[in-house]
Amino acid sequence: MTPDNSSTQPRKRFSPVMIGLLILAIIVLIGGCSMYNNLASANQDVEAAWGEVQNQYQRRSDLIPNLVNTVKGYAKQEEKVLTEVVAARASATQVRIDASQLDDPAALRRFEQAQGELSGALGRLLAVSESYPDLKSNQNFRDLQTQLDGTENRIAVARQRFNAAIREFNGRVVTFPANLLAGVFGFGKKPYFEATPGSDRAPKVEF
Amino acid sequence: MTLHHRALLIGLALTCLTLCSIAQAQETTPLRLTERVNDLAGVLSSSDRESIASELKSYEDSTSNQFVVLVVPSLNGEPIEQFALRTAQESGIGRDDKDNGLLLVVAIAERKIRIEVGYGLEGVLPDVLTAQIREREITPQFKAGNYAEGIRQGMRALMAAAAGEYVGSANTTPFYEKEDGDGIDWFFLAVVFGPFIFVGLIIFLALHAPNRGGHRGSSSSSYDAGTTWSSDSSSWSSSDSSSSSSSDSSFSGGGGDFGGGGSTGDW
Repeated sequence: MTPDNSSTQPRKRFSPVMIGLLILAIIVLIGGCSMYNNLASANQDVEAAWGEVQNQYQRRSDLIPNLVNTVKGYAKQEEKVLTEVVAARASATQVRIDASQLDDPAALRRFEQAQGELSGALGRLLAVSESYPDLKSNQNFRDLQTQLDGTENRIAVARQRFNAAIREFNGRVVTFPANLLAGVFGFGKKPYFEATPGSDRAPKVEF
Repeated sequence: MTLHHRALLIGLALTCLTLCSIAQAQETTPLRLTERVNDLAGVLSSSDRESIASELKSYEDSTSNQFVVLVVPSLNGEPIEQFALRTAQESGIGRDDKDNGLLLVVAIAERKIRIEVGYGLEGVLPDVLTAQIREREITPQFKAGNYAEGIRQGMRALMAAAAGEYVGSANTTPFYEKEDGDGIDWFFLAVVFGPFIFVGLIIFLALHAPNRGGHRGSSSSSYDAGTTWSSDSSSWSSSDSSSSSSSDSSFSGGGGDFGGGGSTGDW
């Protein structure tokens, strides 16, 4: 028989090998727990930031009916741009991305595109308003313009913070050792919010 | 090398390092304000600065709202909205729990005024109201060249508008911030350290096992979340030669958050 150390000593309750394995198992468990928690918490930040992005786009959307009505009061003949804005707003409202779709670059692009088209249509409406001095001096129109500018600014801030949250999350997903387990936990890299070139911000009316 | 030479070389190296780090700091460090009225363009007299600052201090003492003024010679190509937001955020204007800060930014070269409103004040100071205050109180004075009076009247109007209320709109919860690390995550600590206490007990009981315990901390990499939208940044530091020695004029930011609310205009 092979000599066995343990046979010459009184039997212990726990062998060193068992203790070692137990410690190892606990380390892996704790490491895994903390990795999961970090990923989950970063994921929560992403979802909260996304909620804010959607809120601000919604806020912009909410301003549009009033804007369209005000412009109609002075520039009813500009049917084309008015209809465009109303249609673009309707499509943008239909594209909603919930948090679970944030992994999907195609879904995000759809959202960006819809909002980008609305930005473009808004810009054209405001450009057209330039030719109507009575409209431009209307206080309601000026107030709406102020609110739109404020909302566009908030949108920009929300997007920047969303991308920061994505960067933080992606950073955790790709670095060792969390990257080994991220896939197992169901965490994948998420895409950034990008502006459709040329239709990012609705141009401002210069008073 | 003699001691004398060595000392010279070390002195030279240290000077170089210091200069380099100052240059670095000026390029990349956002402006962190500590005075209530910051006049980096030199358009306000020191008595104006002090009187406005003292009004703002009394206001903060009675309402806890922090209103700060910043006049810069130029934005150096950066959009005023971006500049105002990152300065306000970096300076932590307003209380952390109330986000009741406000920053008035005046850019002399671009002739632009921006009122940046913290989350907590957006309810009482909506964009349209700040735009009206700016257009009625500040712009006419600025057009006449009266910077001090414009700022004074503007701040008084803003204070009156916000009077009595510093709890803002529903949107007072900041969504993503790196600076709030107050809470101790007891659950996390229990999860991390509980098993060690358990293992420690086992080892103690077993008595024979060598202590091979060691743990790997959470994999944390520090990412600079960054608050800049583009790579433009200001190139002056926040200390100016005209800083007042009165304690009335300085404030300490409470860590209030901003979401981009407020309004911009020209004069």
